[in-house]
Amino acid sequence: MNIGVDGIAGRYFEAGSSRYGDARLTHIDGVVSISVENDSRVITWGASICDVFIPVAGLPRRVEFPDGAAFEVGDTPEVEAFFSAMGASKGPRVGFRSHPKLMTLIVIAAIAAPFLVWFGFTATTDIIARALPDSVAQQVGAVALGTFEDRLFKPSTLPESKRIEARAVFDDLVQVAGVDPNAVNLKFRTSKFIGPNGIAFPDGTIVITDALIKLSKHPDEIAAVLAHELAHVEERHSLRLLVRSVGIVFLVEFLLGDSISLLEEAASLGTGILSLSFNREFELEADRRAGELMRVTGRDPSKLIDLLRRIVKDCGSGCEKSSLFSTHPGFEDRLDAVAR
Amino acid sequence: MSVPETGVAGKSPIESDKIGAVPFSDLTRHDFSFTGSAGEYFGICIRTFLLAVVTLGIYDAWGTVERRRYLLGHTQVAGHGFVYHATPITILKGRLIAVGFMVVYNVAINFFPLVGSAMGLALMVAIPWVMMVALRFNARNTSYRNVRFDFTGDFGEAVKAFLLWPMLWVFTLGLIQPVIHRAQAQFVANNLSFGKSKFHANFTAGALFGPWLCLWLFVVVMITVVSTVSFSFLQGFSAGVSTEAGENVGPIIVVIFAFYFAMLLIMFSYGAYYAAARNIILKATTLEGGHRMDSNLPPFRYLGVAILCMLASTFSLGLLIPWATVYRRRYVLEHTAILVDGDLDDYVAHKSEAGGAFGTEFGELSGVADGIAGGMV
Ligand SMILES: [Zn+2]
Repeated sequence: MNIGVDGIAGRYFEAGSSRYGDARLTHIDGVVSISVENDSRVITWGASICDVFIPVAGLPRRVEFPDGAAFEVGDTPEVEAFFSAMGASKGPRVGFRSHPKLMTLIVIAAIAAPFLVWFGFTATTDIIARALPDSVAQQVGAVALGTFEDRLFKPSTLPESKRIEARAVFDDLVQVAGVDPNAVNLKFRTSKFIGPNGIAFPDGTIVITDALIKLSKHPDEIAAVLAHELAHVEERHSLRLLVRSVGIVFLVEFLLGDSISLLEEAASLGTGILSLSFNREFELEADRRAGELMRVTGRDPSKLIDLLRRIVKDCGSGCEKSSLFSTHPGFEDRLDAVAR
Repeated sequence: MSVPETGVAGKSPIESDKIGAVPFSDLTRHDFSFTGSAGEYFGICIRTFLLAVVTLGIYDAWGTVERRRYLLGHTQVAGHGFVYHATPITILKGRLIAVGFMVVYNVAINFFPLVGSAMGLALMVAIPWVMMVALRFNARNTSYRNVRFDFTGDFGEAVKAFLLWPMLWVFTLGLIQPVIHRAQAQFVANNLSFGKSKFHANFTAGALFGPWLCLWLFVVVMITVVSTVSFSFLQGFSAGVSTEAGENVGPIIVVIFAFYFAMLLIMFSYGAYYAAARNIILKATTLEGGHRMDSNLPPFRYLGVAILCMLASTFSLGLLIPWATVYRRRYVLEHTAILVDGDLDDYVAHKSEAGGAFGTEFGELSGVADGIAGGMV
């Protein structure tokens, strides 16, 4: 069949109304002609201004003309040949049948993509967090610290001598770490809500609770906690955690734009677990750096774990191993990190 | 956003005269059907998904267009399918702006809580706007027999239907839902037109009250039972065992799961109300020219279909979503019909610009427009 002359038979939908009729579409030398049956009219258009829709499985091919009229024809190999002779774009469509090699490559790339995305995600968020101006860190830190001061902290009731002792250790660590002394600020507070703990805020404020100092049995234990918190400040962990937590929400929203609600629930649970894993990663990073600082200043790094074990003495084996749902790594991993 | 003739024109006497004039038996019934297959759609979804992953999501704009063309094209009535006209580039632009907005919002809410809350408030006001532009975008980019749909609802009406009425929900313990539902359904139906011919939905909130009361009572009973049981459960536990922190995690998890399960049941049972309400609304919907819509979704069987689809999609980790989409769509369409007076030959197109895709894409990102447009077309 010479489709150039005979053309293809389909249905012509008139512009501006729901009327349609059988028609024949031909294409000769860049001119498309439609002859409508039971009608003497022949409509012509330049082939380049006709909009040939890309094929969709099981649906007729559709051509739209500049005046709003349309032509539809069942998708057969002849029709396909007709449109490709017309120079119609097939669109950015590839399939397993038509491009087996390319599709295999795409499958491999798709499997690799999550790992690349993951690597790119952590790298990009860290770059953003480190590039944020100091004023942002100050502002975020001030807001967070203010909330804690209002609701959770009370002034320290520790004897002056204990505080001076801890501050001396802290100054020593700051100097060895090479951190600007003005960028960090040690504070003593008491709090019945957070118990024996140390907290590093994004603005460089480090808070140590009275309970922690009372619980310690060796000066190196306090030094270890201070070194750990100092490492959090040094590595901008709280900002990096914030940027990552924001980023992961954005990433999941983007990847799972329109999906079924239960799946979204699962995804939000997933982002929660991921945020916890970020936290554990940063804790280990801080432990490693703390271990380094402890060794350089001639202290015993494993004292950190001694103190931690005492803090959560009722925890048993649950605290020894890292788990998917815990905020901090298990003691085994942390001991490993400080000792390295 | 100024379309003065809407609403008023919807209540013009044309339809009511026609309804009165044409007896039911003179109308020709055309059932909707879905001619696609789950296998075919699965292929499209897998291919577009893989390409989207490889292109970091960019290709998904093309994938979205292909999937919507497939679903609408295979949605057939009286021998013709629907055509989706939006272009991937429009979708991509809208999506980028929407994603950009979400990023700014998430950053703001974490770093500058005050700015974030202000944006959150603005977002709440934006919901009606998003609904309006999403409905308009989808209607104007959909055609049947080469005649485009149109949507002319304005912002004021959208605010009433999607912000003001819903505000009363809390004060009436949800009993006002039929009124809200009616306002929203009429906002959609009475502003929708096929070419120049208007749809019109004429029903009272009272008609929806029966099904809603059933669901409402079910929810109240569920909440009472679950809270009573978990309360006594927790009490017994803390009395018997040590109150050391961490020890009580077990029973708390059990209670959380009980609540979650109850929430799922409530969410699912909404499906039965949805089906009953859809029947009432579509039966009351007419298209200028003497045609009327019909829907006879069996509420409890539809509930079964919805649960099956939800479970299959979840437990297959999303792999069966294409199957569930096709299965559910086919089930709904096969219980939908249009009763035509004469034929559908003389519809006149009405040309209007669809606008950008930001609203639609934003609606999808933030989950606002979920399922609204799916009901009618
Ligand atoms: Zn830490």
